[in-house]
Amino acid sequence: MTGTCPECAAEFELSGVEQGEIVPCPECGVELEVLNANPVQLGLAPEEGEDWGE
Amino acid sequence: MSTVMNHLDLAAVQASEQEHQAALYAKRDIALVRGEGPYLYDSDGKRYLDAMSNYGVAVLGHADPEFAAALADQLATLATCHQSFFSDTRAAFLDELATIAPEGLAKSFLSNSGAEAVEAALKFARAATGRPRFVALKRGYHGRTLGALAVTADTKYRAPFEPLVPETVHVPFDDAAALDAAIDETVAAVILEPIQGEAGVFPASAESLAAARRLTRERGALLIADEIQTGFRTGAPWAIAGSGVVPDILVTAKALANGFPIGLTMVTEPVAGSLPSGAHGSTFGGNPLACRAGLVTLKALRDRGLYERSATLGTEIVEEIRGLGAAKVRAVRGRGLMIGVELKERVTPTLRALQERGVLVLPAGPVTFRLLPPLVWERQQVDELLAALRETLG
Repeated sequence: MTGTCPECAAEFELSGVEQGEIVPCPECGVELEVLNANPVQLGLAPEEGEDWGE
Repeated sequence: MSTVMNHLDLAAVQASEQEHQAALYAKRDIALVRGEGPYLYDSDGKRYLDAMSNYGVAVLGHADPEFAAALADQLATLATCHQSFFSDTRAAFLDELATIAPEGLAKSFLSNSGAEAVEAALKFARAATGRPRFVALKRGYHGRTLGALAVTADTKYRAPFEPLVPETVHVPFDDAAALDAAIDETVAAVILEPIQGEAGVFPASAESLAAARRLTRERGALLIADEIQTGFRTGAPWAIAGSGVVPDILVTAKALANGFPIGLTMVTEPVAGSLPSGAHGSTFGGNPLACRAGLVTLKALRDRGLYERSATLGTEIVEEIRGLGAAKVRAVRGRGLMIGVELKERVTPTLRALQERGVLVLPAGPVTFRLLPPLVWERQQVDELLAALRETLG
């Protein structure tokens, strides 16, 4: 199934995802939430306060 | 064992750092005060399995006796020596580097970090080609200084400091057609990571790397391979070597000197020949301490069989994590001891749970945790990791 990133409009394949999962956009890297699994609907994931990234 | 502060009080350590530092880091709630081999210890004496080697740098582990003795000896001999003077230690290090340099990359510039190495690469590419533009990849990470930041993709890092170097474009990862459309006669260089580390440990295909090499060569642009994170830990000195691709410029840092600050930009003779004397420099670059640290590290990687060990253990770790069959794991990928485990949920709770169980790993993007352990790990450390993952991943 194909999803569309609401941030950069990239289309990419998704398989086996469930509602509520977090997936990063493979092009822009933004965090997306699976709002609906079939058909796939993606939204920007809610902000998370902590980030232990570099 | 020695500690700098009078007593190991986490609250006192936290208070001092929070009072005197700009709050740029999301801090974990522990202070690391000692290390030994593959383990780290916090101020309460709790032991942690180090699966991150401080973002990939401590490849020989912590408090390695040979490494410590070499640095102590160098400190007692000569610690600083600007590049306007020759140095026996620097010469020995450069000779050792020459034994692992990709074919044709015969000249080096020494600096103090990966970002500095990238800055040098970008400047050298402009000087060598007379062109202004750079092509980088989406999700790519190359550092935080302004030039490196311009070729880094994540808007989270870029936004507070824009405008950046304007002549920069990012194209999709692993997409030869996108590179083909982006590389023209205005492009000085394409910069890429053979394995995107910060983004989530995504290996580039051999085909896309070969396309990048072919397109840059055809159109007079340079190819910059960023091996700052991949360098030395994927089973060989360079991750890009497996693709058969030889870049025009290679940058590395992190593991090169086992955690001592260092940066390296390796270039071809033509690129080096395009640089006027005095055009670039560094006060600390090429100092004897860093060079001694790098020399000991490179010899240890070779003589202790650590390239081979990283390949073997890395394969075992990937297979065994996949074998756990954990429902929350979407994918496991990587090469050697550079491994990403992508989850179906945000990764921070897993980082916390592993830390509570005495294992330190890193995030790589919002849903992936990253393993960059010291290359001195043995089977015992792998078993400890897997035990913690069984409990954490379910």
